[in-house]
Amino acid sequence: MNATGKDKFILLVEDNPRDEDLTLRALKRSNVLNPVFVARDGVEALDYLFGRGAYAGAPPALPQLVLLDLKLPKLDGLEVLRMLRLDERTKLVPVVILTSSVEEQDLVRGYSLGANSYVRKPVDFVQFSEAVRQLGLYWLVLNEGPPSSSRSRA
Amino acid sequence: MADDALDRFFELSVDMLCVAGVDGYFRRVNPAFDALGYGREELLSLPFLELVHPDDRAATQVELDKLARGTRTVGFENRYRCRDGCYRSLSWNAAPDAAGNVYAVARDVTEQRRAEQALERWAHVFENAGWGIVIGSRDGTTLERINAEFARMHGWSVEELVGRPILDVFAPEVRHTIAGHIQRSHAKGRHTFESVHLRKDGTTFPVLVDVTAVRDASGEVLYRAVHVHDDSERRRAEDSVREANRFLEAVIENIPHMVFVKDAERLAFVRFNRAGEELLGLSRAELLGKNDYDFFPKEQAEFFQAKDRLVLRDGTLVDIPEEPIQTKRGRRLLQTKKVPILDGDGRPRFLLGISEDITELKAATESRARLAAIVESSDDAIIARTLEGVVTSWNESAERMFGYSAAEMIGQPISSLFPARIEHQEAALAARIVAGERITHYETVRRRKDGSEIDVSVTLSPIRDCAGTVSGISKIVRDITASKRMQRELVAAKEATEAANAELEAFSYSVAHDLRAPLRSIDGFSQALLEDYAGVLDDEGSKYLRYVREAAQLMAQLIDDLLNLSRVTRAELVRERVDLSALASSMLARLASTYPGRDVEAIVEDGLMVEGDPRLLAVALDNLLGNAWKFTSKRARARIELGAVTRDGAPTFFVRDNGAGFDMTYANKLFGVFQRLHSMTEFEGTGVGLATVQRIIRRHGGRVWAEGEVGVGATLYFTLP
Repeated sequence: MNATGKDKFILLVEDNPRDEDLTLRALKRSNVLNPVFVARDGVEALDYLFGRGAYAGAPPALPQLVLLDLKLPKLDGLEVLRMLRLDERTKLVPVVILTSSVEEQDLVRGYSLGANSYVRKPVDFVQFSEAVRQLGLYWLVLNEGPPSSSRSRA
Repeated sequence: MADDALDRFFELSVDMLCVAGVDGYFRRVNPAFDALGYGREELLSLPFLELVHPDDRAATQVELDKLARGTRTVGFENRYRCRDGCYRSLSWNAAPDAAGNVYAVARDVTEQRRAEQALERWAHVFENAGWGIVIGSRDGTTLERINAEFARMHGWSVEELVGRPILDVFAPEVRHTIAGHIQRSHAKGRHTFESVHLRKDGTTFPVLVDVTAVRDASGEVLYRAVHVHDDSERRRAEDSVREANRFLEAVIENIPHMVFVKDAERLAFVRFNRAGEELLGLSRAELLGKNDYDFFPKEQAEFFQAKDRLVLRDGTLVDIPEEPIQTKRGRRLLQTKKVPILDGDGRPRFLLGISEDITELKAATESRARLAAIVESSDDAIIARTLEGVVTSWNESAERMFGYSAAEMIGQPISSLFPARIEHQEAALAARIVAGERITHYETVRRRKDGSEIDVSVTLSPIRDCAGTVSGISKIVRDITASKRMQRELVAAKEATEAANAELEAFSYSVAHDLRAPLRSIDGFSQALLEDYAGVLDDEGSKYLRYVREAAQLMAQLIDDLLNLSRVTRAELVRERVDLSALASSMLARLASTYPGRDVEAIVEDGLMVEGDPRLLAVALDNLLGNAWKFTSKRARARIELGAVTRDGAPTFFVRDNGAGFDMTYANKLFGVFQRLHSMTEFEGTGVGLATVQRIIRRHGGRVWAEGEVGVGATLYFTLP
């Protein structure tokens, strides 16, 4: 599979370095070659997206896709999602919650806050790879992103 | 005349002739003196003054003295004693001679005097009679003679009335009847009639008149003797007897109890009052002259008459406190008193009975007793109070609840039960009750005799008098101290459970996330080794890495199942109508598409509707059908069935398969967590599924059990009340 462009990058919000490794490995196995920026907690993710803190400066381009874990240090995934959706610039960025559990409360709150998808990480790595492959195919290739994200990049 | 001739006259005279000497002795008496009963010699030998009545002697002596002085005696009367002791009245004429002899003639006037005395007595009687006496004229029209009483009773003097027409003393309205009465007295000789007389002052009075026509030997009427009695008293007496009778009659008639009188001999009714007629539903005309056998069943009549005879025999009152009687208005209960009525000689002549209808009274008494028993046996304190707050009724439970005895509370203000801080609330409540409201299960507090307070639930109702006016308040007080405490404990327990649940929730959440992450690393990096280092690993090494991966995946499955189980416990139960048939059909269809290689006959009974939580029931059914699917995997022709039967009157559902089955010995182990009856190599699984099913069914209040046989199949039953 070919990536459609280097500018279409992924923001992976993941605090567990092993899971980060596995996710990147799965992406690579699935031939998703888009660049991946990894934020290791909720605060870092927001700082990156809004150009604050360690990332102060010109606001960066918006990612094509955010893969968001829920259990995060400092600020959890659902809080990150809420902030994203509150901001005019980031409110339409596709966010896929990629996490360990499917607790009902998380599903409900995730979708309520405007998550575009909710995917559980299977323990079986073969299945995990397959899930990541399908995500990449869908969100980076098949799916047309929102026009506002194009506009703000322009 | 010659002496001889005189002697003859002397001897013949009917008058008594004598010659007496101055010495007081008769010298000579003629035979007429024999009438005194003495012999002639005897008479001459007695001093004649001794024969004179002692009362007349002085007068006689005076006459003798006058004779001695030469004065004649004419018509002097005295009484001489006869030989037999009685006296005779003699009237004397006497003259003395010169020699001092007295020549006397006495005539016997005894009979004459007697007649005169009799007449005098009759006149006395006439004048002094206590009733009016009239001598009426021969033609019957005039009052010839009247006595004093007759004049008095008419208000006239005797002189005024005598000579007046008889009609004048009759009241004008009766005068026309008088001629008839006179005629009748003529015809019968004696005639008595009632009439009305007129007084001088114009007032009238009733009289009883008795007329006798007196006739002479030839039958000619000489006069009329009329006796007139003032009848006022008698009439008054009669009137008052009549009055008394009427009074008694009215009393008997209007007494609200049955009053009857039977004659002593035949025991037939001779008198009956209105209440009796109404009670028996029979009229007096039907009753009088008949006896009990004419109206009542034989046994009852016998009973009545036995009592009657007892009363008449012993002459005493008999009280029959409860006497059932069959009347036209149904069975009634009477209280009857029977007494004999005696005649002048003390013999029973009548039997008087008085019966009170106590049917309603008795029923009321019984119902009252029942109510009282209920009140007394109630666990609740039942209290009545006046509007002023004075206790009038206090049952045993009130004694137990408050520690005051009935004697201590009745007549006392109820406010001693109110802690001071709620007294104004109680006054407000009482005002609402007086307005006719009823207040139920009002929760408040009360103070016991020992000062401690109890929580109570009070129901207050107005007590109304016959007129419907609220006259008091009834209170039913329940001690809810214990239930209040339990309620508080329950709330505390619920809070504790909720806290524990919240903790469990947080714990599960962590488990869900954090326990799986390491497993992913174990599996993922094992796979990475297998992929990236295949050349370095021999077959044995690769196999071990696969085991590592399998273990990690099983662990993940266990965690998922346990989380599901705990979710079943925690989740809020909602009840909706659930179509088990539809649910099962879609699950079996999904299984069939997931395992296209299997040949499974799925039989689902239509229309199995239950009330329950749709999501939890789906989890339960998923487990049951999943098990059936799993355990029939080794059957060439598998069959899975969902149906319902009726057991003990309740619908019982079942999932049946023809799979591996199980040994009933271990049936009790099926539903335990992590309990498995098959090895992992035979059938995979974590041993949590049926535990989850059991927990779901139990949360619905139902029961789940299993029947099976090794190699034949298993049936899982469950109920959902």
